[in-house]
Amino acid sequence: MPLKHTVQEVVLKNGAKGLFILVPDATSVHYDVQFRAGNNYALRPDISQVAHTLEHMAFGANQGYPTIEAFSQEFTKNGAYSNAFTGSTELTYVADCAIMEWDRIMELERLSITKPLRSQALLDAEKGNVREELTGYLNDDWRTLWQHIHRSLGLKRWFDADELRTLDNITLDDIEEHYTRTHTTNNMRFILAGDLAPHMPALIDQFEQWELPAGEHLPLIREEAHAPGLVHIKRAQVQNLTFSVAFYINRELTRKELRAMNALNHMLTGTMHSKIWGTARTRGICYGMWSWISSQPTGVTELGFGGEVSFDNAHELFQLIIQQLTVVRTQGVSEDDLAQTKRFRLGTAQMEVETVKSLVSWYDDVYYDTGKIDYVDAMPALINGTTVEEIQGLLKEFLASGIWVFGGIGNIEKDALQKHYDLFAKDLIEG
Amino acid sequence: MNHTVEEVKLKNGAKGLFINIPGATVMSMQFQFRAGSRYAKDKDIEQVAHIMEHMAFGANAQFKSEHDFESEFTKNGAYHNAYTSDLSMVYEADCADFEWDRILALQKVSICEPKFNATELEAEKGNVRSELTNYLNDHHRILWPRVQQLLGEDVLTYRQAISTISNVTLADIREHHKRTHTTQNMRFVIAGKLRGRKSEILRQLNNFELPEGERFEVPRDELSSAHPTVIRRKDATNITFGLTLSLPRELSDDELDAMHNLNHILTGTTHSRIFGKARAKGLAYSVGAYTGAGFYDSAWDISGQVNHDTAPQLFDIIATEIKAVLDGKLTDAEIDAAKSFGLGRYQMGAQTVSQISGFYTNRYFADDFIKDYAKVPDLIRKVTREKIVATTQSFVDANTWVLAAVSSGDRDELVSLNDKLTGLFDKKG
Repeated sequence: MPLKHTVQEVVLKNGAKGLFILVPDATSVHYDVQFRAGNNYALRPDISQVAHTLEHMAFGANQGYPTIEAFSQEFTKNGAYSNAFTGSTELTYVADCAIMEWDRIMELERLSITKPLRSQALLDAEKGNVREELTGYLNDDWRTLWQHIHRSLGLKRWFDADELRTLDNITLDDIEEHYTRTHTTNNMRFILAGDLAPHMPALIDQFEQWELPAGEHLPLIREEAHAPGLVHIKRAQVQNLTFSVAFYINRELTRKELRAMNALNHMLTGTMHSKIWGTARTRGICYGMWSWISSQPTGVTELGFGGEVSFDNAHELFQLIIQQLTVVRTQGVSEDDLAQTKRFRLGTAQMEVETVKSLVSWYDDVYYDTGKIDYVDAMPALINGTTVEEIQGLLKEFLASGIWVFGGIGNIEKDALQKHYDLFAKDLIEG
Repeated sequence: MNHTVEEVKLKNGAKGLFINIPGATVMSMQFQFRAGSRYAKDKDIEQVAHIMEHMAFGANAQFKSEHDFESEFTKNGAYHNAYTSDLSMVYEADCADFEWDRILALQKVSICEPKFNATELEAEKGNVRSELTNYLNDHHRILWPRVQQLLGEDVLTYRQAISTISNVTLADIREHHKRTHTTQNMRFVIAGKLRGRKSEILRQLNNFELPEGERFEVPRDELSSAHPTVIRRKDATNITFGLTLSLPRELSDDELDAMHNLNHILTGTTHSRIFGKARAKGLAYSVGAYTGAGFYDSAWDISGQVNHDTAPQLFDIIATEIKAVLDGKLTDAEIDAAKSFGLGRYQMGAQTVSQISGFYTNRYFADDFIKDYAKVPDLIRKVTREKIVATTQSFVDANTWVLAAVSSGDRDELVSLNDKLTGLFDKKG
């Protein structure tokens, strides 16, 4: 069962909002503080890494500690963990600590987020580290493929090769500008989880004292996926095909619709007896493939299938994907299959959300994107509410949108990849 | 989560741990056999263990196909997996508390009564080939078997392992299962809410119908230093490197704790001596250190990714800091800080059934040793500078080490990085 907890939303006088997830007897605390300050909020495209570089600099010197070393020594002295993440939309600071030091870590979070002292030397060092990080990512075939796919759709998403090229353009003034504009109380959301009920008044009081400008909650930057396409990336030393075929609609799914598509994905690729991956495993043609549904608050939803397959087996696997998607589009799924899926999902729900960190992960996306609270307790009703008609209707919507991509990376020529693309175009999209 | 641990020894020779976690809503079960790739009958069928592990979830005495077995196993969300390493084959399952007995019974039938058949063998050969080919794209994955091999371990690289797949026959699969899946060769760890259930679990475990067999010895290799080696990848954008120092004996617990403390000091934080210094200079995004104790040898690894132009500076830092440790230049403050960090992490740990089970399984499956969770703080506090320095010196004195890398660069580049480290092993220092 998920950890027993209650959720309280707090709206601070300074405009910040957040959730306290109160977990009796939890021995650790998780902090999550988010700003709409990701790469897409850069002032100009030619400094798109400004947010990521700023995030790297967040753990440098601040008004309480003169150096990164001094701050790190203090922060970690009892095992506490801190990190930060930058995406296209969000910049998120996270921390974990033992309950005994909740107040010390809260104060250190305040210092690093609201009282940083940035220098040219730190900027130069972190540009170097970001360069190291992004260069390493270029070896990741899956990540590279996805970045090219998103670009081909016209989506404004992170693209490592370009990010590397723009890194040199960033100045200390750019960092300060990005920080000042985005790190404001109205633009701040937070979720804290732990045995915090006795400490809530003190935590609220501390948050109220964070000295940031009021600013505004920056609007989500809407995006739209365009045009079908083939993405081909040749890598001579990659001896199999890392592939993806994905279908798009230019709207956000509801939570209920997301559950329905998750149910479909489970039936298609979730287990070793699933209709696509399970069948492929039984035939011995693919070790790993999966599917997913991703609905972005920026207005684009993606239904994707991906994995790695040998060049010899690729055609058979793609025929299997087409065949199974065609069945669902024309006949729906069986009531039996849906009932089994619901039972599986209700069972896994008993085994999920066992830690304070996983509780925050449960609540963060919906809360940060929409301001709504997606209660864990509501999960069984959402799972049980899925219908065959809903699944079939949604799949039809994806396949009818005309916005889809097939992409592959490996030691394969474009002509060969085009044949796979044509198979999907002729037998699934047009068929 | 509070828990208690009890070792149980079955009449049939199997041994295991019962970890009782009051209030747990998940049950976790793991079964281990010394049945990994090193126990293949012949090197030319090295992948027999891995393929057999894949087939363990196929047809068995109760279910005619993998599809039927899977459908039953997962119907309430239960999870299972298995993995094969050089030494071990481990079957693991997690399920909701209410169906622990159904899942244990299904684990039993898949482990004890598989019905290996030619159709599933061909399919799983295909899947294993697909799996290992996938791994060839992962620079970290391909690095470590090569490092093991360079030092003298009798293992295959992934590419070599792929070439053995087609040799494996159904008879080989059956032979491997029969020889390795025996009660004497089996260890288990079962964790969850066990109060009132132990007798029924014991009854089920005693019903595992396997030959008695024997607990296999761990194979021993003679290790020696090797020349710096590049695994060439034209497409690689940076250097993925691994430096391994080997010591021809098992580290004691005290020594291991000392090395954990040192690894934290060297690479554990952004103020650490190697990773922290590299980060402060913008030289590397990822560098880590790890120490592990095997039966006959122990290893100390420093690994990471670095760009070609910053690698020389990073390796200067690595050499300088290891030398400083050998010279005893560790402060009380940093040793105490590493202890304090370890104690804090201890407080934050053991939040889930899997985490608790994981604390015990690796060591128990390796040598039947039962770690004491409650004593971890004392062990952390006992670390001394002298122990850190002496253990580090032992690794250096053994002079059995290698630097390997996945890179698009030439060997000369790695040799020049290697040269920065050779002075550490010079007896005159």
